[in-house]
Amino acid sequence: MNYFALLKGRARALLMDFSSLAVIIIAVVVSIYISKYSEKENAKGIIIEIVNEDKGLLGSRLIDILSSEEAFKYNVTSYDEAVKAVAGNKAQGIIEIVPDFSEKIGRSEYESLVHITVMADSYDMTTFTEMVINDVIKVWSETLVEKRIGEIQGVSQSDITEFREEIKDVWNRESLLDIESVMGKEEKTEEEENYFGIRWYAVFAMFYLCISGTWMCNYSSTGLLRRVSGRGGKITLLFIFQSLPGVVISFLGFIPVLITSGHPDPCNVFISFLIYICSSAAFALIICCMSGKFSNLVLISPISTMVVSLFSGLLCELPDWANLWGTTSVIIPGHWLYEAILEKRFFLGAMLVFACWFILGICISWGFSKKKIH
Amino acid sequence: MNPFLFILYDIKRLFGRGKTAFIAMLSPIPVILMFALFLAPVLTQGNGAFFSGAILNEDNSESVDQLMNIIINYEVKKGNVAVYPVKEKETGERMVDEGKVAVFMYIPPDTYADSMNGNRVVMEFYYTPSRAFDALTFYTGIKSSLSVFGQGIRLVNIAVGIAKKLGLSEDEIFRIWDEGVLDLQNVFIHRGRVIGKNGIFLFGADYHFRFAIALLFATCAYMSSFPVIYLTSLDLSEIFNKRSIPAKRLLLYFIARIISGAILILFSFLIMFPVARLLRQIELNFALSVIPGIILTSLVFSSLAVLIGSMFKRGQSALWAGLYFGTASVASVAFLSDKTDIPEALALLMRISPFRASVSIFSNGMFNLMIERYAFDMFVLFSAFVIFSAAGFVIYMKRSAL
Repeated sequence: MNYFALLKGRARALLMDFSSLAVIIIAVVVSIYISKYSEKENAKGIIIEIVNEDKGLLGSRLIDILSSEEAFKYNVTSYDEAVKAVAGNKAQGIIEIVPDFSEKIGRSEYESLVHITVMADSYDMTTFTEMVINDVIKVWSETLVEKRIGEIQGVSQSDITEFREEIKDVWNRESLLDIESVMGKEEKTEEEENYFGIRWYAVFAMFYLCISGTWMCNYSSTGLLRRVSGRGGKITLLFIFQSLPGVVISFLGFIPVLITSGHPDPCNVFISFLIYICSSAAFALIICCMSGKFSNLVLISPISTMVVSLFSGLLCELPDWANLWGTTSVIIPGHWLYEAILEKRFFLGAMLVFACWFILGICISWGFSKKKIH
Repeated sequence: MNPFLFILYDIKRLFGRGKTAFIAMLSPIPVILMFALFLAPVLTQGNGAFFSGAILNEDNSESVDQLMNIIINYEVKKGNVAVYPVKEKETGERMVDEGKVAVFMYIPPDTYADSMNGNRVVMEFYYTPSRAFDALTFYTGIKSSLSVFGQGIRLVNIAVGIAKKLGLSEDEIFRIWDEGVLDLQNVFIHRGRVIGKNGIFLFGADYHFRFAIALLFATCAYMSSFPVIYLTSLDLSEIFNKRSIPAKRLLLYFIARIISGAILILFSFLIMFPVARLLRQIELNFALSVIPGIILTSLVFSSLAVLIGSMFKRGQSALWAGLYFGTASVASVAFLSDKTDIPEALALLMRISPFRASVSIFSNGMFNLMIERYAFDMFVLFSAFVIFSAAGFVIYMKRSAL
């Protein structure tokens, strides 16, 4: 059995098959982007339609205050146009100022001063309702205080004008009452650097190995497996030589990701990724064997990759209460890569996990190949 | 052959021994697990409260005491918060660290007096990392509203300044002061009423969940169409390519494939309602309104899958094309659908994207039905279905050996 010919053929197939190679290229680009990603992005760009039906002046004041909010873009329009824009996905929300807005505020009535229509088309809409309420409160507070000033004996129109001038700036100034969030002690050190670039690349790489394991599936695998088994070839060697090109490509893609991540201990992460990617290849072998058909593989690959990456902590941090999941994830290769990224001990655990997955993969593929032959 | 039998036969082929349908049905679960990582404490907490918190109010002024009582009593009554007063800051912090409460709020001494004198006061909101997700949602609401309250005090200060300038007596100035602050408190506790809702905080806090759930189920539904892509491509290159089949019968095959594909895709929606119900009360009429959306989405994705499958000679190439098209659609809806600073052509594509329309129906229709948007999205889906089906059948005919 010429395993090197298999290796050469597999490497050529992987390099020539741009569709599967594109997965790893996209993974590198996305991971580098994540490493460099600034979390300062905000909700700018979401369009909100304002329908001002107020017969008084306070509706315009509300529009002024709303317009100073940087998170959203506002269009003042008619009700029909606003509905049309939201229905056609040209805007994500409507603020409808009721006709008796000024009158109600003047009478200190607070019931339904504005009607809000919100389309849950974006994560950023979460803050929208609170923002509108706060801005209505601002108009209301201004009116109430102005009313109190009007009740002061001897107050002149110039005093009220002076008040109106002063309040123009008041909402842009620092609040006298503030509240600061302080996170509990447990995870402060981990939160400083999360290295999502490396972690998510590892997830992508596992997905790539699973999705490119088509040689194990029906249309090619049974043929290849049957031929190799029939000629007395060893499944272990077949697996090693078939997986090697994919492992090498994933590994090469990891180098720029690691360099751009700025990890303080790149050597250890490098070694741990090498072990991780080999274990992932064994995992991919199992997934491919169990999928049977390529259409099932395409369905199972993203799901299984997501599950193991989630429980190993690569996709996102596991919360404290999920201790059981954290403990059981030691059997998943990603757990040890995660440990290495956090500069903890990993080598022995990672090697043991690799050995287990490798043996399991070989046994399962051997079982499947026997089943196919029969 | 009876058309119904055609469909039944195709379902048998597509579903295999049920494995594919089973995978399609279970496909949303991993992502739901991801949600569960953050939501489990909220959903499993025995007392039904949103979360429990400790509070230490070191300011002995009547106004702050009254304000905090109003806020806390309301939220306690509503069942959102369970509150435990503590006597020391360390006790509150320890309770958070030990996981006995999710948050601890600390009000420093002289909060009222300092803020009234124009000095900035900073309170503390101490929270446990394991409850960071919901604690920070609550924090965002309380921070923005308190901030507006604090800025309102500046207005009262200006009024007091005018009163002083006019030479009013100290008693009169205090009266203006107290009435001004009372006005602000009154406004503050009724803040939800301005949009016709009860409560003080947490308005719109679940929008991102609604969007994420809709995106998740639409993605899983799309993924469930992969077997349809593969089988269609395989059929056209192997069976139909070698045998001459009359156009009428070919149309029957085509319709049967779209229907059986839609049934397979429908499986991925099976657990959507229980998940949505778990997160939020959904009204029956809203839930029912989504059903036509689900059916149409399944038909659209199925016809798209047949179209993609017909376009490629190799099943594998068709699957890759489907995978990349799906990834691009999901990414654009997740990151671009609400952006306006994108090229007009791209914005138009986003508006007419069936994937976006599908997400929009689930995220909006299920929780807060706006009939105009719903109608537009249904129109987009229906148009997409007609276009994909017509284009698909043309290619289907060309690829088969008629």
